Amino acid sequence: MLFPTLTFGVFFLIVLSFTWALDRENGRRKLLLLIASYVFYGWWDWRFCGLLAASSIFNWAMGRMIGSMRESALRALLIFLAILINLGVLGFFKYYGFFIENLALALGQLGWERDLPLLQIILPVGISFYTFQGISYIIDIKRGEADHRAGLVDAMLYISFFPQLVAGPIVRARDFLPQLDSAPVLTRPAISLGLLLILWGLFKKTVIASELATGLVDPVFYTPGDFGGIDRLFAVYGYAVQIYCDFSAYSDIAIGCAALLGYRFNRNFDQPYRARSFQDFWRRWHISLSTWLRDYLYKPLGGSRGGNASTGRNLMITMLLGGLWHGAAWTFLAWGFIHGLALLTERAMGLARSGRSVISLVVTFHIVCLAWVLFRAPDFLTAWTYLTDWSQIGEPVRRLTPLLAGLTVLGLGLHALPARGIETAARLMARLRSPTIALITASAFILIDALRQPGVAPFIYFQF
Amino acid sequence: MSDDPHRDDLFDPSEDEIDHHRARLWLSHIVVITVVLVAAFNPVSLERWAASNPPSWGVETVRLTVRVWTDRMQLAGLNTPRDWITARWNALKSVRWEDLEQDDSAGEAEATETPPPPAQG
Amino acid sequence: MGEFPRLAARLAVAFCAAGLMSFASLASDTADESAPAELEVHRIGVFGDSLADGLWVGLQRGLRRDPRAGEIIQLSEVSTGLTNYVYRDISEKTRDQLALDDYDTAVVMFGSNDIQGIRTDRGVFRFRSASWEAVYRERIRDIITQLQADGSEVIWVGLPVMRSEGYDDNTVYLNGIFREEVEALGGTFVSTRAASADETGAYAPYLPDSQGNPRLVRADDGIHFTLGGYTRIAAPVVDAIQYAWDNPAPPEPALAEAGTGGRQIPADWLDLSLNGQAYICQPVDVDDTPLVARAAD
Repeated sequence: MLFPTLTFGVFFLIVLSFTWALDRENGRRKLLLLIASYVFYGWWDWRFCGLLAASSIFNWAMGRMIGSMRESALRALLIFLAILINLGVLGFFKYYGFFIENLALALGQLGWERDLPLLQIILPVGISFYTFQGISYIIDIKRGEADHRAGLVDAMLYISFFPQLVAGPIVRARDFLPQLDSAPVLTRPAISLGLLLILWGLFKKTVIASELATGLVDPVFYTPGDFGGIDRLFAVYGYAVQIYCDFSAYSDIAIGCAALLGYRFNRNFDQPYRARSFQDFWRRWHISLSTWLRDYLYKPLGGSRGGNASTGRNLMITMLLGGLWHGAAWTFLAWGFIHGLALLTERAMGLARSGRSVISLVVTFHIVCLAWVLFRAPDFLTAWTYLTDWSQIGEPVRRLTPLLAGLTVLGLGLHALPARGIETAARLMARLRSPTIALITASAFILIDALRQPGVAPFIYFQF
Repeated sequence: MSDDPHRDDLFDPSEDEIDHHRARLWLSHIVVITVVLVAAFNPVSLERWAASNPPSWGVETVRLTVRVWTDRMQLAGLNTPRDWITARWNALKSVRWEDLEQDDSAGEAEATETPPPPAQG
Repeated sequence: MGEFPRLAARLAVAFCAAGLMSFASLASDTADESAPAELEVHRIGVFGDSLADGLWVGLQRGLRRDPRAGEIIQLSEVSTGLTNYVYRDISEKTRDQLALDDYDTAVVMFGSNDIQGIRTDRGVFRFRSASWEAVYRERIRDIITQLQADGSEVIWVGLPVMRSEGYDDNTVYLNGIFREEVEALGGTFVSTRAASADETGAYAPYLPDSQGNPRLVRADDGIHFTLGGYTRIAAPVVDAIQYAWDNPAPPEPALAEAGTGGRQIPADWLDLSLNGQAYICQPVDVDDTPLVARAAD
């Protein structure tokens, strides 16, 4: 089920009703949420429920063992194995095809053609997210930050909780498991926040992001050489807005749904295009991923504790893997490389520490946009054509319309709003009576439905 | 969750158990009224959802029921606000740069013409 | 040291990085031949469902170097088909689309969402039943007639090989219907089965590209394609389109009017039908010479 569909809406309402009916019975409540999460996941493809369950049970069992052991070589081995198996599963499903294709390419060029096992491995939805959560579970237990005695239901629910299962945010074991110890308590401000986040997320996704994608970004990125300068420039800005709205919308809806069910997830985006340096950017963009990489990859590698050379190496490895995590393609790796290079350069020149001006904001934004071209383009040739093929640069505007330009400006303009505007609005809303809120909510739903495009955009080309 | 002070207070549970029940009641009122309002003022989305599924006894039952509901709501004119918004939005989508360059009155006339079908990309 | 040199350095580094990364897959970009003045430019409209969406991209790439190809307009919509007219009435939609614009060539690709019953006033016809097929054929004819009446050359693209056997079986059945109806009305039917299958004709997620390297062409659902896959199945369609441009159909000979026995009637005479009987009439003179009407032979 995709979030912005009626099917999910009905599903969520049913789950919401039953969950709060089971109010004080925490055990049954968690079991209900677990079953609901598997129904949600099974809706995509029932065959992968088995994999999800196996991954969750495996991580729980390993966590039990590791948590009850003392510091020893065997314990270290078990931790290593657990992480390896999680990554192995992710690696197989996500990167097998990429690996085989490139191996075939390489062998072909060397003249050593082989009959390689060309399998079409179907990517289980959300595997990037739930394997990372599994690894978080193991490592948080190892560090003593999470309780290894957590029950099986708790652990399984942590890994497969439906709001964050498919598109994040990547929730940490130490943040979520304690919340499962007792039945949550509702507060009106939290409910208001949840409602606002869901509505705002739906608007960003179905109105801003979809419109920009279908009207401007997709057509220009298919054949960039055919388009003029203005179309191409606005397609890049448009994509920056689209990917921000798309991603942050899913996170917002996830956080909102969790809030309505009584659980708290951390913010995942914080007006990222306001960043005045790359270091700042990664504190604002996909926060759950960047903190995960920082805590579980960068710091264990040594972080910035070693000399400049080792810091640089650690940073680059982290960014390259972060890039590759987004998808099995060289362009994602290149995107990670650009960000890594930018971070390294910042560090080397001490830019992050010096006073940052609006110029830094503009420059950071544009380098981020340059990297987005690589992220979005299906291959290097398209990205190269996009950036360097000036033969049609004088072409008149074909795709950009006043509305699309307006949406791009709006998307960027959102970053000028007060950073904690939604919280303030939630506090205000909490004081209103329920019919008033219902009127606001209903109007918002009707508005969103009136503006959105009919049908759901197909995942033709990329899927996280 | 401690690194987000702006949100902390929103989730702070009240000491009083009664507040939790009141909040729950408040939420259930909101949900019920919202569902009724949306069903009344935007029934066409339900109908479209039912229509998009392959026909079977269950789907057709839902669809035809929703169809009757939609007809009645439309008769009462409840779909007018939504349709008006969609029409204005489509008009806005079909505005081109050339239209803006002309003077306001001519631009208005263009914007209210039947818009071309949106280029589905 | 000012901000600008540092920032310039960062930009330069970033551009160099992008350049280095693209080294492996650079291909020389030959300049488009400018279209000779006398070449006719054709507008192409792509109608259909989500597969047509992808076909549209494939056609854009395939026809890039052809100066006769004008704009290729995407008119397709996901989740549509010729069975579910309750969700989207394709006949009505096509009528609306044709009212707004004309297309020299119409590329049509439906069917992947048509493996379901048809809802009509008389009830729901089960997929593949006789009544279902009758309605379906009627709808195909309706679309083609509309397009041809608008002056478009119809190129109907068949469904590719599918991973699921049952689904594939149904697509073969649908392709059979498409082929019959399209060719009966003078359109061109293009099969994509060969382009989407391996040498044995079976479903293949990896197919060799132009250099012989295996590339992933199908999406996870076993129905849709990757970008490279769409370019691949667009190839036979491009061939068919270009063939049609190279060999335009001769103008239809003027059909003999009913009742004139094959003779040409003068342009200012009227060809009427009164009470089911065909007449040809000479127009009345200005001085009121009575109309000479005689029954046509």
